[in-house]
Amino acid sequence: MKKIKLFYSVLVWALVFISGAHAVQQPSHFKLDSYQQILQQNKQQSFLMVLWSIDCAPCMKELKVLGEFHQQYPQHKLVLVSTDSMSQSNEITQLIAQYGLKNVNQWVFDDSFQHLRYSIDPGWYGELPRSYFYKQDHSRLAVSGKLHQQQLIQFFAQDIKNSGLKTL
Amino acid sequence: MKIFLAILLLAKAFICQASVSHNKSAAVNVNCMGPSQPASLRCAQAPSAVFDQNNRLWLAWAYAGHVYVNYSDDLGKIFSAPVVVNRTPEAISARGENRPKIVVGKKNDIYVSWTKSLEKRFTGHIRFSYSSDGGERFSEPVIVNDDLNVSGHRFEALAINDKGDVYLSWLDKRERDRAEKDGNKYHGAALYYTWSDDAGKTFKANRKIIDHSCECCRVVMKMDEQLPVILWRNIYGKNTRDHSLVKFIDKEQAGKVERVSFDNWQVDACPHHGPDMSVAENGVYHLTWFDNAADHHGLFYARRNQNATYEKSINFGDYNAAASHPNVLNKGDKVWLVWKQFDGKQESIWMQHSNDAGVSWLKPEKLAMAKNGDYPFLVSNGLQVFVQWQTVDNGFQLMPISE
Repeated sequence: MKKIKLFYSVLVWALVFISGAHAVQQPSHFKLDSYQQILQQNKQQSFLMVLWSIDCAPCMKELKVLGEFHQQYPQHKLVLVSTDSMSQSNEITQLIAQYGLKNVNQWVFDDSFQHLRYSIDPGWYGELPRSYFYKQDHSRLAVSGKLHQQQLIQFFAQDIKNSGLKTL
Repeated sequence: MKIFLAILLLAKAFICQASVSHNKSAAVNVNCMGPSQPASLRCAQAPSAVFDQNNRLWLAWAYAGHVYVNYSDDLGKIFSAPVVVNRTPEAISARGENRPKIVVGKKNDIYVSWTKSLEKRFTGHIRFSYSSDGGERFSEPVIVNDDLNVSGHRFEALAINDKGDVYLSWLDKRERDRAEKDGNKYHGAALYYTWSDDAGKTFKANRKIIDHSCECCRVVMKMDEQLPVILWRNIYGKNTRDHSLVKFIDKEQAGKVERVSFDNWQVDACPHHGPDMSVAENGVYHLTWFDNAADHHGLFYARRNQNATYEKSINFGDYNAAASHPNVLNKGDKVWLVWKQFDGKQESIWMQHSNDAGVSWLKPEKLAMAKNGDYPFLVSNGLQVFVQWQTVDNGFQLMPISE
C-alpha cells in the first residue's frame, strides 16, 4: 500500500513537472486555425490579444506595460502572439519571462506571415505592436501601437468610452 | 526507489520526445536550414540584385551567417558558384526590411554592405566589403559606423556614383542611448551617413543628417548628378511617421530636409515598411511609400519635380488586399511600380506602368503568385526592366516586364 501511495505521489509530481515545464518553456504553434481556437478557449469572456515581435522596439515597451498590468490584475485574460518563428522560441520565452508574463497564454507564428495575418484580421497590415480588445460577445477593438496601462484597466472595467479606444 | 527512478525516466523521455516533435514541426525547409548545407541562392534569405554595364546580373544574399555574391549572364537562368564575402560567420540581418546590398562600378569594382546583429536587442553594426577584381575575392569586412558601442546602427542603404565615391546611410541610435543615459526621452533613431573617396578603402567620420527618424523601416539612397539623395520614414512631432527626403549639396554635405508625405500616420509602432525612389536623368524623382492613417492609407506614388516642388500623391494598389512593399523604377519618362498583395490564399505581385513620367497610369496587372514570397524589386540592365522575386517554392525569379 505504501508503495502504491508513493507511486501515485511521484506520478503526480512528475506530471506537474511535465505540464509546468511545458507552460513555461514552449509557446504554442500559431497556425491557420489557431485564431479560432483562441476565440473558442475564451468563449464568453473579455480578453486582450497582443501581437508582437522580438524585432519590434515599441513592442518591448508594450510588454513592460502588459507585464505590470498582469502582476496587478492577474485575473484579466491576456493572450500574446509573437509574429516571429518557432526557431526563435527560446528568445521569445526569455523575453516573456523577463517582463513577468510567463504565465500568460503564448503563441508563435508557425506558417506564412501573410496567411496568419489574414486569418486574424485582413485589415491589419503587419505593424507592431497590434492589440485586439475582445468584449464578452467577442466584438473587438483594434489598436496599432503601444497601449497605456490606463486603457487596459478601463477596458477590463468595461469602461470603453473612457479608455479612448476606437476601432481602426 | 526503483519505481521513482522509472517514473522520472519516463517523465524525462516524455519531455524529450515532446521537444523533438516541436523541433520537427519548426523545421519548415530542412535542406535550407543547416550551416552544414552548401550555400545556395535557392535557400537564400532576402537577396538583392543589380545589373552591371555588361548585362551581368549580380546578387548578394545571406545564408547561415555569411553574405555571398554570385552572378548570372543569362538573365537569372544559370548562376555562378557563390563567393563568400565574410569568411568568419556572423549574425546577418536578412529579412523583410533588412538585406545585404550590392552595387557594381564600372571598373570591375563591387561593393557589398549589410547589418550585423549584435547580442543586445535592436543593436547592430554596419558592415562593408568590396572586391576590385570582379568579385573573385572580397576585402575583410569593416564596421562603417564610428560609434562602436553596442547600439542601433542598422537599416543601411548603399550607393556609388560614377567617380567611384561610395556612400552609406543608416539609422543610428547613439544619440538615443546618450539621451536615455541622461534620463531623457528620445523618439526613434537618427539618420547618419559616411562616404569613401578611395573606392571603399577608408571612410570619413560619420555625420548626422537629422534626429528622430522612424527606427524600423528601410532607408533608400540614390544618386542625382553624382550626389546622394536619401528617402526615409521620419518622425514628425511626437509620433507622426511621414516620409522625408534630403539631397546632398556637395559631396560632403546633406542639404535641407524636405517633408515628402503628409498622411499623418500617428502610431507608436514599427511599421516595418520603408519607401522607395527612382531618380530620372532629368532630375525628376519618382517616390513611393506606404502609410496607414485612418483617412489616408495604402500605397502612394508622388513625383518631385526638378524645381523641388511635389505633385499631389496618388493612391495605388488594393488596400483591401493588403497592397504593400512598393518599388519604383524609371527609364526616361516610363515609370514602373511593383508591389505585393494577398487575397487570403496566395501572395501576388502586381505592376502598374506610366508612359508619361507618372502623370497618368495604365491599369494594374498581376505578374505572379506564390504561397510565400519576399518583397518584389525592380531591376534594369538599361535595355529591359525586370521584377525580381524570391519565393519559398520557386527560389529566385527574374521576370521581364518591358520590351
